[in-house]
Amino acid sequence: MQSGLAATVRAAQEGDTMAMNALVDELMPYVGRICNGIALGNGEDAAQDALIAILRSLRQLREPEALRPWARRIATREAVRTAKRQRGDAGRPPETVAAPDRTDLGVEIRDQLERMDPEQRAVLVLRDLEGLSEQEAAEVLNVAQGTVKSRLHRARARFRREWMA
Amino acid sequence: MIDPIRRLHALAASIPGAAVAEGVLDAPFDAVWATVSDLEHAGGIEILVKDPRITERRPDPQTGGERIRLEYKARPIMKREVLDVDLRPTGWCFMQSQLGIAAMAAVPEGERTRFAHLEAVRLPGRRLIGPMLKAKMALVGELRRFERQAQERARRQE
Repeated sequence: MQSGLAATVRAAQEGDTMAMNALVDELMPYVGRICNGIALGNGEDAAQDALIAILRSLRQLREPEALRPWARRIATREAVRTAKRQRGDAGRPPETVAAPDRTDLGVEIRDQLERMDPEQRAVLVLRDLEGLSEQEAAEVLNVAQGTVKSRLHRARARFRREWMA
Repeated sequence: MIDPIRRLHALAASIPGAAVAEGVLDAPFDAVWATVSDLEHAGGIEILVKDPRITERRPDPQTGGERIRLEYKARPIMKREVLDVDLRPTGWCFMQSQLGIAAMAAVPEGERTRFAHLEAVRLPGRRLIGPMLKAKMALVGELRRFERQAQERARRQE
C-alpha cells in the first residue's frame, strides 16, 4: 500500500473526517464487490453496514498497511450476516429446482448463487473472485482451512451438477 | 457501490454527535444540486454561516468534482472559519472545518429528489451537541429552505 493511504488511515483514526471521506472512496468499490457477491440483491445494505463497521472500528486497526485485508474481513462478515438475515426473512429457497431455459445466462447464474448458503457464496467470492488462497479465505471467515476446502468443493459441485441438469 | 444517501448515513453513524435530516424535496435533482453547489449563497440556508466566500477552487480528477476552500464567519461567535469542501456533481458534498462537519447528499426520485443533510461539531462534548444540532435543523426548517431555493432556481431556468 502506498504511504499516502497509510497517512489517510492515520488521519482518519485521529478524527479527520475528510480522511474518513477519502477512505470511503478507497474502500467502496472493493467492499461493494464483496458485498454484492455474497449478499446479492441486498448488497447495498451489506455494503452500508460494512462501511459503518469499518469506520467505527478504524481505531482498532494497528497497522494502516493492513487496511484492505482488515476491511475484507469485516465486509465478508457483514455480507454473510445480511444474507442470512434476509434468507431468514424470506424463507429458505428450494435446494434444487428444474433447470431453467438458458435464455439468460446471467439470470441463471444468479439463481444458482441464490440457492447457495451465504457461507458457500463467501468462499466462492473470496477464492474465485478475490483470488485468496484457502488459508487466507479461512482466516477471513474464521474457519478451518479444511472447512473452506469442503465448502468450495460442495459449492462448485453443486453449481456443476445443476448447470449440467 | 452505494448511493450518496447511504454514504452519508454510513459516515453519520461513524461520527460522534452527527445530526441528520432527510426528506424528499419537491424539486428536480439538477435544481437541488445546483442550489447545494452555490456555496457562496449557503448563508441563505445555513443560519450559522455568514458571508461565505470561495478562496480556492480546483478540479478533482479522481472524483470528477471539485476541491474548494470556503471562508466564512461562524455565528454566533463570528469567528472566521475555513471549510475544505469535496463537491461532486453526482450528489455528494462533504465539508470540514476546525469547528465542524457538514455533508449533503442527493439522489433523483422521479421528478423529485431524496436529500439528506448531516451536521456535526468537532468540539469536546460533541455527543451532547448532536441533539441540539438536530433540533436546530428542524426548527430552522433547513430541508424546506433547500427545497424553496431549488424550486426558485428551477422556475428561473424554465
